[in-house]
Amino acid sequence: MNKLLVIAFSFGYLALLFGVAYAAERRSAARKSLVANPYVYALSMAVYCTAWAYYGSVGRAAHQGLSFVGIYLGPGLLAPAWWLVLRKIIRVCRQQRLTSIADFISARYGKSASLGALVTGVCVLGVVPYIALQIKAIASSFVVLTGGGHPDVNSATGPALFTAGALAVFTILFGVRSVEATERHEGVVLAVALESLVKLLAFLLLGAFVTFGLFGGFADLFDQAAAEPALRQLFTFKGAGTSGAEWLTLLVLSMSAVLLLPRQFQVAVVENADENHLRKAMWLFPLYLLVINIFVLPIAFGGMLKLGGRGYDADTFVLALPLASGHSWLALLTYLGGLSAASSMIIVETIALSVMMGNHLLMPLLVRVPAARPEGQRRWFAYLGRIALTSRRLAVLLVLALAYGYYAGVGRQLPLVNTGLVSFAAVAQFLPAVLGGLYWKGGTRRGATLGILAGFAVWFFTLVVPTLVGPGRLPVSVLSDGVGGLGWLRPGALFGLDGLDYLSHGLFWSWFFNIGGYVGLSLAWPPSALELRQADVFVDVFRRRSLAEEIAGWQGRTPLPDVRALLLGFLGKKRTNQALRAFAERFPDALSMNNAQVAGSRYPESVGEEKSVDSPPPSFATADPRLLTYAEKLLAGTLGPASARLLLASVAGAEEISYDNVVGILKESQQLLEANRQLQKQRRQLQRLTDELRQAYDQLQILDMQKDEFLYTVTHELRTPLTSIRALAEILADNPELEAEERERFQHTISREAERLTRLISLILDLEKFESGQASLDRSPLALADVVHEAAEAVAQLARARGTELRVDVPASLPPLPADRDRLMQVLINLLSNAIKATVPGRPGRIAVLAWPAADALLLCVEDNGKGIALAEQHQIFDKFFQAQNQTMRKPEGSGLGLAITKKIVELHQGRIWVESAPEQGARFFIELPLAVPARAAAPFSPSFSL
Amino acid sequence: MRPKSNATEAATPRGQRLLFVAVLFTVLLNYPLLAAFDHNGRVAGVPVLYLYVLLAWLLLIALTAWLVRKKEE
Repeated sequence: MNKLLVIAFSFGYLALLFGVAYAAERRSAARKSLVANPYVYALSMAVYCTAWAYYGSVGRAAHQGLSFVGIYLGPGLLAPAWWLVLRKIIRVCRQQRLTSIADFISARYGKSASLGALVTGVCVLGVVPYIALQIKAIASSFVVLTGGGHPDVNSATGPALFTAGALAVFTILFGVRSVEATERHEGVVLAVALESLVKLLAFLLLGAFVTFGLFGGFADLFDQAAAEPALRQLFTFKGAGTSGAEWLTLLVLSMSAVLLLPRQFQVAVVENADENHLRKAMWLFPLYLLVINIFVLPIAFGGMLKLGGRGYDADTFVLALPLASGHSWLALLTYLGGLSAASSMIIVETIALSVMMGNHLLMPLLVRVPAARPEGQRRWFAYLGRIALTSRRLAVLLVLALAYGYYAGVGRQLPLVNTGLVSFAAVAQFLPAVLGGLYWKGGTRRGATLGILAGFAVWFFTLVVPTLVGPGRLPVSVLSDGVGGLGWLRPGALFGLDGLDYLSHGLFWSWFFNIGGYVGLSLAWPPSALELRQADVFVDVFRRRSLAEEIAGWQGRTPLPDVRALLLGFLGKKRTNQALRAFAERFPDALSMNNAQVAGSRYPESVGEEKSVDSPPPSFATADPRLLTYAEKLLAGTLGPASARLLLASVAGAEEISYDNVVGILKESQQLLEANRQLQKQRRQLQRLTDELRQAYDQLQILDMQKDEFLYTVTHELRTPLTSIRALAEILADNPELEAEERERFQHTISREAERLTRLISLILDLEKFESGQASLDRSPLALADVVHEAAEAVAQLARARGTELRVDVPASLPPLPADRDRLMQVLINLLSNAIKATVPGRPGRIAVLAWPAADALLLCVEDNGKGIALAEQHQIFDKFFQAQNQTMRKPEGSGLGLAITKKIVELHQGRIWVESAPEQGARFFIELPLAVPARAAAPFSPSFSL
Repeated sequence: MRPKSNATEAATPRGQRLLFVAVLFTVLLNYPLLAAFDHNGRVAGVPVLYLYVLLAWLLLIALTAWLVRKKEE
């Protein structure tokens, strides 16, 4: 194709990006964000698919079959766990105002400046070749498209350089705009999301063209491929030579990469507008990866079938296929897709690296300076703020220059196929420190530093050194004989470990030393107070607001204007005032209590902002420790946590967190947690006790009611005879002339009623005695037959009066029964007189008393043929005053206490009493009395009947 | 729904279910299970291995989408 046309389209496309980014920034300024939605968020994550994915996947698939998919399947497998891991990282970063992976690791391990610098160094060394790979992709695709055959120096460097330059301008304009790194770059995000769409559509279009245009669909394509033995063996892992270890390594590497690559951290964490956007991104992003990979194998096989043996590099199939079939416009579109894949990666990666380099390599050095010159401090800060921004812009240029230099210097000779994966392995060295930092409070700065250093060293030795072998560089003997001829120092088989593929071997050894160093040293050396606090803040970010965060390291008497000046220098007037106002709203007491002047400088902003800012009121107010912590966080969002801490130390004196203080508070929070658990437990116990108490109370109420009823009945029963006695006595007193016979009758009645009264009272006393458990038995072995006959004689008179026949059938041969004779008599008389009373008038009554032995007991039965007892009442008849309570009955005959007392006496003998009856069928009262006195013969206490 | 309300969501069923799905599919898409599909057979012209990986991946995405959906609130 015409070179000029291709160049025009390339720059036209880049100009479109500028336009889109500009529009997004305008919309963002007008608070009508185009970016704050989950779809753009998920699409921007697709910056994961670089030119390496776009061109390289096909190349890899053409030679190794399915194994390329591991790089995209890994993120898919990790995505469900994002809900736990990525959400936690986002939450921590938002709370701590962290903006890069270096910030994250540095802040977690005691805001260490050296650790931040180390992480930045690893990122730059690991990622710059990866950026170079993108530049190479742009250059070589340009050459292929314009028909240059092999990418030679003259034709390729020009466009590559121009593209790099254009991207640098774009990145500086839209990516490094404000000194506050926490600020989201809406323009960049929208541009990246758009590029993700372009590369997806272009690749799908090409895939559809190859599959359905050049071939007759998937089946036809695979049929043709199956006919070629070389392609046929790519249908399986076995045939393609991909081992299980290599496949697993690819998955694990890509999982860690999608979390830790600087550009992924930038789009997924820093540019995240709302944690809830994760919900959609968790399945949209893997879906994107799946869709963009569907046509990779068809294109690879199509390329091998159509172009195989014609000297084409498989990496260029994506362009060569449409070109060879005469569809140059399709090739141009595909080229633009590749350009978008490369450029979006370069832009985002460069932004992330530039912020890291500025904040972790340069700033920690610069902020140490002002301590020496306190008078010019404020101007120095304002200067530093500008330096921070400028240094980032310079870092963008530096990164791109490094990448371009790498490409121009070594990249064109070196095979770059593995660069992406080696880059993945470099950032994978952060995984132990990051995951450990999120879930393990024991990880320390020393451990993390050693782990990353050791991992990085092994990474370099096992994965980078082999790529440096070649004419004019390292001799081949390094690979075969080891460094210095030492057999155990072979980069491909460290310590003699061979049998693993290149990547698995490198990842295994680097992680082995990394994790070993990290965990080992963390355990060996106790953390500092600051590390302890940060560990608590990170690990427990989802729990209650960490107590540890409240430990203000900054104490003492820092003048408030100094803090203001510090913020003004870095954030500018507007932002400083905003931030202070937000702080005042959150902690009203921190500022207002201190002094009215500060409040004064807060409010008149609407009237005269300039005045309040430029001439802070001459006060001797000191800043609240909370304000210092807040200021530190604000600055951390600008300069990174380590620099922010150093900077604040320059105005507030060294941050002093006493070890005891931190340990004490952490312990306290542990104790609080424990106390909370204990409280919960006690609350449950209390609840149970309350329930029991309520039940007891209810029971008591019932008993109380029963007692009231009992008393009522008793008084009622007592009053009846009393009333008649009194009435008769009055008659006798008022009528002295009463006839003697009449008088005698009255006196007789009075004495009978008095007798009844006495009997009733003694019954009640008896009952009371039984129920209170005071009654005792005077037991002696006695013959039941004697007692029964005696009782029968006692009631014989009554029976005769009623015309009732009384039959006693108790054998004299029964074994002697240990019982209280008088009480037993009372029982029998009660039952017999009840039976006599139950006889129905007009029917000859028959009563029988039977007794027979049972197993170690005697059974006694009193049987009548009277009116019987309804089933429902059979339980109640043993209750006190049941007869009296029963309103349906005629005038009661008897006290209503007889059966209650009978039951008590039987129970006192450890016996049982029950009744079998039916209305008009007579009744049988059974008594079972034990023959042996049980060991616990003491007066039994029957709780259900106690008053 | 603001995230404030789910302070301990890491311990809730949603997080655990998602983690389970991630682990399950990592096992499903690795050796030794993968070896069962690593043969030369083809279904509708497409190699079995390709089809298996693709379908398992799709199922994983569908499951994830189903598990993270918002409950009616």
